[in-house]
Amino acid sequence: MANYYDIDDVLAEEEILPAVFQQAADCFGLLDSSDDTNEVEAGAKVELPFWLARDLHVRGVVAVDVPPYFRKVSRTRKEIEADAAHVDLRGRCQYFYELGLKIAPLVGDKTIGPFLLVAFQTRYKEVLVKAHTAASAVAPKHLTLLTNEEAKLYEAGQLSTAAFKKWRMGGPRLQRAPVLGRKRKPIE
Amino acid sequence: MYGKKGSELVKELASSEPGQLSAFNNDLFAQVIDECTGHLHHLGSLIRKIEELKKIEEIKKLNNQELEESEKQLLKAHNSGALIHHLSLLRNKRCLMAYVYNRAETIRSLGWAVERVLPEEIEEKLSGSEKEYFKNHAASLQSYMSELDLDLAVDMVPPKDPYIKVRVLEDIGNVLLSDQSANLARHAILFLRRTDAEQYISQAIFTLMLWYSCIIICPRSQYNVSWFTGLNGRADWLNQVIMVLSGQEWLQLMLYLFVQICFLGE
Repeated sequence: MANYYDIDDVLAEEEILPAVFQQAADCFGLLDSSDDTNEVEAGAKVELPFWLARDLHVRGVVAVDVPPYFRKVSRTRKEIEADAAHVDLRGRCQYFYELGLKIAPLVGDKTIGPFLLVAFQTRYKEVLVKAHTAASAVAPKHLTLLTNEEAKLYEAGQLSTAAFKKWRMGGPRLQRAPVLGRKRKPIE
Repeated sequence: MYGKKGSELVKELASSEPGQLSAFNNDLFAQVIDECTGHLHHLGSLIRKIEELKKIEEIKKLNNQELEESEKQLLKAHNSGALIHHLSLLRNKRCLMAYVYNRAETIRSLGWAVERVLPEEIEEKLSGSEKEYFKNHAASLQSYMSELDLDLAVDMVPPKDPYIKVRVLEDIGNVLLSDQSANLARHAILFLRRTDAEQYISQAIFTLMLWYSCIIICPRSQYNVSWFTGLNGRADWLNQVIMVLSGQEWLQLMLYLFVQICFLGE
């Protein structure tokens, strides 16, 4: 299990999954706070965040379905097979891989794992090349296609290039503390 | 939807730059806690209902009867409802804990960067308990260092020269340093012991002087030249900007100053 305090893990579990209630549940305003009824009917089709859906699924209260982009026959799969590097995964799910890892054992879909692996392998190469060659810190266009995990890798790549340059060229060793970096002095 | 506010809190943390603190979101924090209280309330009432039904079940069992179908359904519904509230509580707890924990981590790293005193603009972003936490953490760091008799916050690379040239950015008056008493007036250029100067540099009171900083004496440099650096021009911009100029920008700067001196200078 990932770190309890890990921000990304917390946010990855916030992703929405489609689910169907298998039995009625007595809880006030779960789906809509303005809803006055006290009950969710059995067979109600709802969208639940992963953290709620997981435990309810394990206990048989709801049946979880995979989100559209993980389905066996879906546009996303076809696009990934065609040209993984230029698929907008961020628009589908910011935590594409993390969610995939979490959901695969839950629904018992054996095809999700290899699918994720293929997607990551092809995209990783592209991310790495771009991270090491991109000239400036200005956010390039393709960054909007990357999922959160890939964006982190991209940043790490850029940082290491910057660190390498600094090591080769030398730079000022004494600097103001980075927490003060964005400080603006009052205009006199 | 349950747990939305908690995740908003964490999202706020995720969207801020790493290492930077944003103001403690008291408002949202209190809202999440309110939501928790609400969940607890619902959970309590559901559990009471479940217990009542269980009692009925036991009584009926003694009479060799079973619960009616509708009652069974109700029990199930209560059970799953209670479960949902329980999970929401756990989730909100996790969001709150993650928020506080990650901020505390940043605050701990402040202890290394700025030593004992927090600048005002950072201090106002902390909550009361965070201020206390920082104070205690800084104090224990200090006591550890004094126990070791070693300042662990200094630069890891040994200096080539024990003295460095710095320029003062803020007026702080007379200060007693380890080998001299210096008047730290704004814009004064001083030659100080590196160990003395280091803490002031990290607090952004000094700036390190490099050889090309001598251009500052050029009177035209006080003009706003933000059009070519893209940064806010200020009287003390030169020292700060030069440190981040790349080769091409440096050329531009030289050209600009050259033009200024040749054609505009008196």
